[in-house]
Amino acid sequence: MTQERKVQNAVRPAELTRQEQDLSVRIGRILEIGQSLGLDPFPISFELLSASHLYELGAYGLPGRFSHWTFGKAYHAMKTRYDYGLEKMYELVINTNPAYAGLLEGNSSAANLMVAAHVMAHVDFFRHNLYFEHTRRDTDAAANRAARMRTYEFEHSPQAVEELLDIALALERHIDPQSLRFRRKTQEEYEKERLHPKPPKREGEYDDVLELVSSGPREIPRPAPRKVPPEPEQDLLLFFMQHGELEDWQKDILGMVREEAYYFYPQVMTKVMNEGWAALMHRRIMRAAGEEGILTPQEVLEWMHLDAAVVAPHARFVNPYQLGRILFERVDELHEGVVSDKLPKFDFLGRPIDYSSYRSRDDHDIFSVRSMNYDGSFLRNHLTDDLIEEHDLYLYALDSGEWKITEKDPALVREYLIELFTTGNIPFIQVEDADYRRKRGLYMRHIRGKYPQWSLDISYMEKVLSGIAQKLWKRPVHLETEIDGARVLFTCDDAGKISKSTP
Amino acid sequence: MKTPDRPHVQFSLSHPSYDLHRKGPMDQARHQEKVRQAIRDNLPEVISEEAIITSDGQKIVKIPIRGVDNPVFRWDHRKMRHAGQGTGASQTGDVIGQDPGQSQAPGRGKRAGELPGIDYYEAEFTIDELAALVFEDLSLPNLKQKTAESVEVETIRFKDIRKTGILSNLDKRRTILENMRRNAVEQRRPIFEGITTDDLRFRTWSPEFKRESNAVVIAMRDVSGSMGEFEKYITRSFYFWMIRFLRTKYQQVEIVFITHHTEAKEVDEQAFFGLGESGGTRVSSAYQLALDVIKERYPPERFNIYPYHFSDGDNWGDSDNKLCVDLVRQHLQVCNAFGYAEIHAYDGSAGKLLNAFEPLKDDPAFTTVVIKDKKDVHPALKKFFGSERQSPAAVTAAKRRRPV
Repeated sequence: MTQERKVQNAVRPAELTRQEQDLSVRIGRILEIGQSLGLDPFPISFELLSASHLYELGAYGLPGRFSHWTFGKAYHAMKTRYDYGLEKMYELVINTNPAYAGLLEGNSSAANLMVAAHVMAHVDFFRHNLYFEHTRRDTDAAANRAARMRTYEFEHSPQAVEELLDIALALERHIDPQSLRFRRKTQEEYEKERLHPKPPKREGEYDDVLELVSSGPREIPRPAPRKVPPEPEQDLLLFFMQHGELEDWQKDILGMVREEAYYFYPQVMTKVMNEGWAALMHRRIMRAAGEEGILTPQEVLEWMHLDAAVVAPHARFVNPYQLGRILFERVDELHEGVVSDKLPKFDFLGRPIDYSSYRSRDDHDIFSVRSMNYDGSFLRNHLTDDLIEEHDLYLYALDSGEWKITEKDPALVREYLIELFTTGNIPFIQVEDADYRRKRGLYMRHIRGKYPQWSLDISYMEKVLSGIAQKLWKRPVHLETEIDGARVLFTCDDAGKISKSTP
Repeated sequence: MKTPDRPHVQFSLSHPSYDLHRKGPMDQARHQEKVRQAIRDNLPEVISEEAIITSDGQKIVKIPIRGVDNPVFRWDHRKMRHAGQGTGASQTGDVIGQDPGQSQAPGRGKRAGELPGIDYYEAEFTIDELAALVFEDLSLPNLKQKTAESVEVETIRFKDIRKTGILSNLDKRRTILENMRRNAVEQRRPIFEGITTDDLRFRTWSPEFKRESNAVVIAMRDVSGSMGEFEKYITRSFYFWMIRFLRTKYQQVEIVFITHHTEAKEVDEQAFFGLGESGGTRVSSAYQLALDVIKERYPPERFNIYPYHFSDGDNWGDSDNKLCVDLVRQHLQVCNAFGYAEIHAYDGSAGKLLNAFEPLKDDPAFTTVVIKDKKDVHPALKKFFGSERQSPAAVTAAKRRRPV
C-alpha cells in the first residue's frame, strides 16, 4: 500500500482479468455519478481481496496494525461466520489519503459496484465531516507503530508487550474528546495558578474603586497543596503515561494505543451518520447507474436485494444504516420543501416551528448536515417522534429471564439513542487523586450515568482494576462506584487482591 | 453543493495476487492459547463435575466460552436497557428473546446469552480433549528406564493431510469443503459439484516407534462403611482421571485394582468403580495385598511401580496405623513412588492415618494429599503426577516419550 501507485482513471491491463477491467471501468462511471450528485472524496485505491485478507483487515481496522490476540479472536470469529455462510463483510474502507478500500474478490459485479458507491460516500464523509479534521491520514502511521511494537517485543519479550497491551487496550476507550478542540492546561500553568491564587471576588458595583483605597493588605489566600491530577482526569492512558510506574518503552506503548484511540474516535461518534450517508448515496448512485444503462436488469435486482438486507431492521439492536438513512432523507425532504404533517408542530419550548425556513437555509441541506454534526446532534435535531413511531423503535430490558420491550415513548427512546451513540454506553471513569491517603494510592471515580439502575459489570471491573494495580500503578488502586443505589469502594492491592468497602 | 467542472475523482483498482498476510491466523493462534489457559484455570471446577465422572467416557462436554475477552470497564449487560427495531406492530411487553440465565459455575467469567442477538460458541470438548488439557503437565514421576523387557511401542500418527494418496484414505469431508470453496470463488455459489483431482484430500499416517519402560499402578480404594457418598465420589473422580491419563500417555501401563475394608481383594476395573460396601477398615490389608501382588507378578527390576491409596483415614486403630507405616516403608523400597490421599468431608484430622504417616514425610517418593472439596481433585492429580517431582533425567526421558 505504500508502494508507488499510478492513481488515475486507468487500469493496468496486464494485471486484471477482463471481468475486472470491466469492473474498473464501471467503477469509474459510478464515481462520476457520485460526483455529479455532489460527493467530493479523496482519491480512492480499490483492492480486490480474498476473504481471509479482507477479514483480517476488518479485525485489525488498519492495514499493518500491531498484533494482539483480541484482533486474532475478532478475525477468527468473523472469518468463521463467513466460512459457515452466516455473514458476509462486503467492504472495508480506511480513513487515509488516498483512501484505501477492500472489495471481496468473490463478489458479483453488482455487489462490488454498490460497494464502490458506498465506499465513495464514506470517503466523502471522512473528508468533510468536521470531527475528522484532526485525523492523521498518512497511510504509514499504523505500520510505523507496529514496527516499533515489534522492536519492543524483541527487546523486552512478547509476553511483556502483550501484558501491557492487554491493559492499554482495556483503557483505550476512556479518552477526552474535548481535548481535540480545546487545549489542555500545562503542568506549569496549573502550578502557577496554584501558587498565585486569585483573591476571592467581592460583590458590589464599586469594588474596583474600593480596592484602590482599602486599608491594609487584602487577604491573599494561601496556596492550596499540590494535587495530582490538578483536575479529575478522564484521559486514563494519558494519566498513566504521565504518572504511572512505567519505563519509557511502556509509556510509548500506551501512547501508541492512545494515538489510535483518538484516530478512531470520530468514526465511533459518527457511526449512524456515516453509514446513513453511505446508504443514502449508494442507493441514489445505483439508481442513476441503472437509469444510465450501466447495469444489467439482473444487476439492478441484485443490488436492490442487497440494499434491502443492509438496511433491514433488527429486533435486538438498531441498524445504523437504516437509522442514518431515514434521517438524511428527512433532512433532504425538509430542504426540498416537503413537510410531512406528522412532523412536530412545536419545539420543546412550545413555540411553533416554521418549516419553510428549512428550505432556503444553507446549513439545512444534507451536505451541510453531513459536515457539521456528530451522532448526538444529528439524532437530537432530526430524530422526531413521528419517525420513531413510524419505524417502530423501542427499548427493551431483561424481565424474569426474558427480554421484553419496555419503552415505546418516543421521547425516552430518543434520549436513550442519543446517549448510546454519543457515549457508546462506556462508563465514565475519572482519576481523582494520585496520592490517596498520602500513600500514593490511586483513587478513581465512576461518575454515575444517566440511568441509576445500571451498574458496572463487576467481574470485568475487578479484572481491569487488577491490571491497573499490577501493571501500571504498582500500588493500591481504588474505584468508587454505585451499585444498586449504594456507593461502594473497590480496592485492589498491588498483588491483585480485591476488597470492598464503603467510601 | 453541486460543483460544476471538477477533475474526475481519482481512483485505481488492483488485485494483489497472493496473500502474505498471516497475522490474523497467528494472532488467532495466540487467542486459542488463551482460551486453553482459561479452561485450565477453571479446570478444578470442570473436571469434578458429576456429569463427566459418571459418564461412559463418550460424552461431549460443552464449555460455554465466548473466546477469551479482554476485560474493560462496562455496564452489566443484564441490568441495562437496549434499543431495537420492530416491523411495525411492537407493543410494550412483547417478548423478543430468552436469557438462558446463569447456568454455569461461578468463576467462569462469561455468562451465556449475555449479548442478545450475537452468537457465542460453546467450546465442545470430548473427554479425551479435556483429559489432554488436564494432563498436559503430568506424567508418572521418577520413571526409570528398567532393564529387560523394554517394549517397543508403535504409535500411529494419522494427522497428515495431503493432496495425493490412496483412495481408501480419502478424507471426504475435506474434499467436499475444498470443492465448495473452489466453486464459491469460480461460480460464486458454494455448492458441491464437479470434483477435480485438485479438490481431493487424503489422510496419511506415519508410524512412530518409541521405547517405553514398563509401569504398573496399584490403585487402592477404601470401600468400608466409613466412606460416605462424598468420599466415594471423590475417589472415583480422582481415579477416573488417573486412569484416563495413564491410558492416553502410556501404552504399556498396567493397572491393578484393589479394594479393601477389613480385608483386601483384587478386583477388575468395573468393580473397582462400582463397589460400595460396609464394614470396618483395616488399611494394612490393602498394603499387604499390594506387596504380595508385586512380589508375585511385578519384579521391581522390570517394572516401575506406583501404588496409590484413597481413604477417609479412619483406620482400625493405632496398632494398624503403625503396621501401615511399616508396610509403606517396604513399598518405598521397591516402588518409584507411593501416594496417599485422605478425604476429609468435615474438618479435623485427629486420629487419622495421615498423622501416622508423619515419620515418612521426608521421603521424596512419598506423597500425601488432603482432599476437602471437589476442587481439590485436580491439585491432587498435579501433586501426584506433576512434573516438579521428577528428576531431570526422568523429565527428559518422559518428554521424549510424551505423545505430541
